[in-house]
Amino acid sequence: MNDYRPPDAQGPAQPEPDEALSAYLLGDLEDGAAAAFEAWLAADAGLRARLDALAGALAALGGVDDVDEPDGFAERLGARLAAERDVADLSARRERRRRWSAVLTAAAGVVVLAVAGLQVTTGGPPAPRDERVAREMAAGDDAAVEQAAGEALLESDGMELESGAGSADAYRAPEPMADGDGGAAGVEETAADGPADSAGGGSGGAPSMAAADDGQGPAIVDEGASLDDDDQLRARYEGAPESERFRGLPREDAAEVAARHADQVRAADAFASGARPDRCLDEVGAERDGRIVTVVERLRWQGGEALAYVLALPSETSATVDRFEAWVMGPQGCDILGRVSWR
Amino acid sequence: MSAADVADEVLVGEWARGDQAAFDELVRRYRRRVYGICYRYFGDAADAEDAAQDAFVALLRKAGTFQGTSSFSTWMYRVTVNACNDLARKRGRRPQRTDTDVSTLADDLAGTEDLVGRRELGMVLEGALRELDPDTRAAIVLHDVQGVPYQDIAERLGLAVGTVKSRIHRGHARLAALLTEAGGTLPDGSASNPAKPTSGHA
Repeated sequence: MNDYRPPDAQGPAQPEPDEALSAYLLGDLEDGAAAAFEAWLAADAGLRARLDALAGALAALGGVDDVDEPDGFAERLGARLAAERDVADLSARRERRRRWSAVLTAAAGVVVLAVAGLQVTTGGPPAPRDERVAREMAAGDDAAVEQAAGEALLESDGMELESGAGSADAYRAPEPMADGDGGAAGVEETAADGPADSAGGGSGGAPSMAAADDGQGPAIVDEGASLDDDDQLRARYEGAPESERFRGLPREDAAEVAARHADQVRAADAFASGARPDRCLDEVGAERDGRIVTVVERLRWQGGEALAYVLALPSETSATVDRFEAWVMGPQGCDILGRVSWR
Repeated sequence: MSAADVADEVLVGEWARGDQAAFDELVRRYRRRVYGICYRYFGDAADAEDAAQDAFVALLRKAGTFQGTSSFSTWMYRVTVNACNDLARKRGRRPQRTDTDVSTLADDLAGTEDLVGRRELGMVLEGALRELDPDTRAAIVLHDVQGVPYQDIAERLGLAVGTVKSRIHRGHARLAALLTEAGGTLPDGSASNPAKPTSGHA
């Protein structure tokens, strides 16, 4: 029932997929099977016709069009959708700011080099433009940031900005995650109040997830990186800026951030595998005692599907965040596959 | 041509390119249906409204993932059911039956036919239902007409939940095949032929 492959897939002959029609429509297909079924749909016009017929029949049998909307539903729905659009706009602005910050980091390196050269030869003061850029960014003023950035680039006085020049540690702007025609089963590109980032670099490397402003939510990462043991787990997450930015945060503030991050993880949509980012929040103690979820990542652990949770937290005797943990949880029931901690 | 004359599939493409009027028109067309699906699922107005809002948020965010492998109304149906499933999981609630207590339903076919008859199903769908074997038809009526969850149907019929699911899925497959063979139009105005654009569910 849940193992349908597209018509051109390798392997033994598959049964006709018609019995998956209603499982697909009713959300009963297991992880990955919906995507395989969609491949069947794309290749079979008859199957598409039967799916549409079934959807119409289920709506008719349920009498869904006989139900009256409650009073005020249209207005409340409109307000909710307007709020969601605001969030989407905010995310888009943040995305632009992140991309600009990559340019700025490189530009700042160029400016610093140029100014350093100037000081050596003239002893004059540094130009304040890059400081202004930083202030504009801190204030969240996109237009001012873009203008200041442009001026900073101009002030590099004709020096060509090459890829990575003067910015070996410059973070990379995130790439959007892939999504399918899976409707609500698909993957959301951003958490409710923060960009989802893609951790590049593959097996065992440090994540490239970016540091960001304090209002950013947890990183929801659907990279599918492959890890095998606790050493690789530690190497991947220790020192990641998503967690480090909370170091020294007072315990009472940590509790507030922890609650907000947990809500954002709950609001995020499923990963491409079908696993929900919030599946093991309780098991890793998120939100309790100032335990802030900083990263949720879908990955492969010793070859199998798993979820990783990274947390920043105040240790028992500390008044501030000074401890970090990374957990790897299995696909069934949140069994603990790996766990490391560091200070 | 006004937005009201445009097929759903065109509108969703326009919204994916940022046309707010196209999105508003889709919401207008599907608002009642989406709420109706959610109400039949939960049997509770508050849960139904929350799930319906979630479904439209999914449309707002993910219209770009609609690739036309089904009609838009089918895609939206699935998006809505998934929103209901997600909300039920988050709140630890299961789908509720919405009408008659399952214990009052008669075993006999007459009971299920009577329930079906209360909904205006159209000749094609009624004919297709009559083609199903009685056990399958009973399971489908309980699930689709009454909104009874798999677990309750299994208890009522003395079967394993997996058996009930399988029976309903097989019945749905047969129903879909019969409907497309007949090529008829369903009573809600949507077509069993997906080549015909669907619209006007407000």
